[in-house]
Amino acid sequence: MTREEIVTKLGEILEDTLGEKAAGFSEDSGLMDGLGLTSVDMLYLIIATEESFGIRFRNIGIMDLRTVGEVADYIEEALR
Amino acid sequence: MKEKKDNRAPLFAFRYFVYDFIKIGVFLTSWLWFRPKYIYESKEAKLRLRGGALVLSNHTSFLDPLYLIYCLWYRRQRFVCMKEFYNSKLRGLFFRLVGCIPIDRENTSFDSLRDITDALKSGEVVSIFPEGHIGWTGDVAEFKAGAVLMSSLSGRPIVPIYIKKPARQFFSRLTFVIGEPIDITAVYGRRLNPQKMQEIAESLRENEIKLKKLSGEDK
Repeated sequence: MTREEIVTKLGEILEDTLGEKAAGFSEDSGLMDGLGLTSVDMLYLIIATEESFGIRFRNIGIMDLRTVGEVADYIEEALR
Repeated sequence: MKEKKDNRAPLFAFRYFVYDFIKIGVFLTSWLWFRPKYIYESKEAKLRLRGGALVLSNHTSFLDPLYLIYCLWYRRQRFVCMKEFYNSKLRGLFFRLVGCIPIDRENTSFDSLRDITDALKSGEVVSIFPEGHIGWTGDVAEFKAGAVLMSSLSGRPIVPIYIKKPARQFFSRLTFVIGEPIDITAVYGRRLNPQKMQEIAESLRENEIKLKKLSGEDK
């Protein structure tokens, strides 16, 4: 899976989580600061990500993933 | 995660030794002292809990976990507690031995969430204080939606309980109001988005206030 495909899929999950607020996001968009995700939104986002990418987020907390790009990095690493 | 057929934990197991020791050692004497009174919301609430369940209670004192042990005396419970409790080695060892599940409130890890849902799926009772802190005023504060997420992911019901703080600490009777179990997945469906979870958390808080009224507490 390419980086672009990962980000596109992440965008779909973000849209599902946030609705219209997710429009116009970029890899640099902050999850909690920029897009305004709450801690429950973050947990939901990660669970949905785990399900759709078939990966597991281990030893990582919600504050460790600050931007969309960082989530994409983690997914890329986990899929390798 | 496989749930035990009859949902019964063994009467004795080494991993429950410290929990059972505290329960038996402290239970009888303090139970007689507090003479707990049980109020049930309905007939369904009176049925004994079988299988995994997420117990939600108000939090007004450090003794609340002990009170919940009185309340559901027939089941072993695993309490979700702050990670900070594990900072000291001795305290950490104690909380591990009694089967608590640590959670980092600032930087919640996905492993903690999995620990909780796995415990629920395996048929254990997990108890949590959804307000996230002790409310010294006695008011029921906002409920965190995390509890809804845990119940929805595990597919296990939520059991609301209201603990009425004794009017005179250590000298008055303790009252528990036990609510009807709420099956989140049956009522709201399996796939919940965060907005919906927040709404459910708010309705659970309203339900807790209803239980508070049943306890006879006006304020």
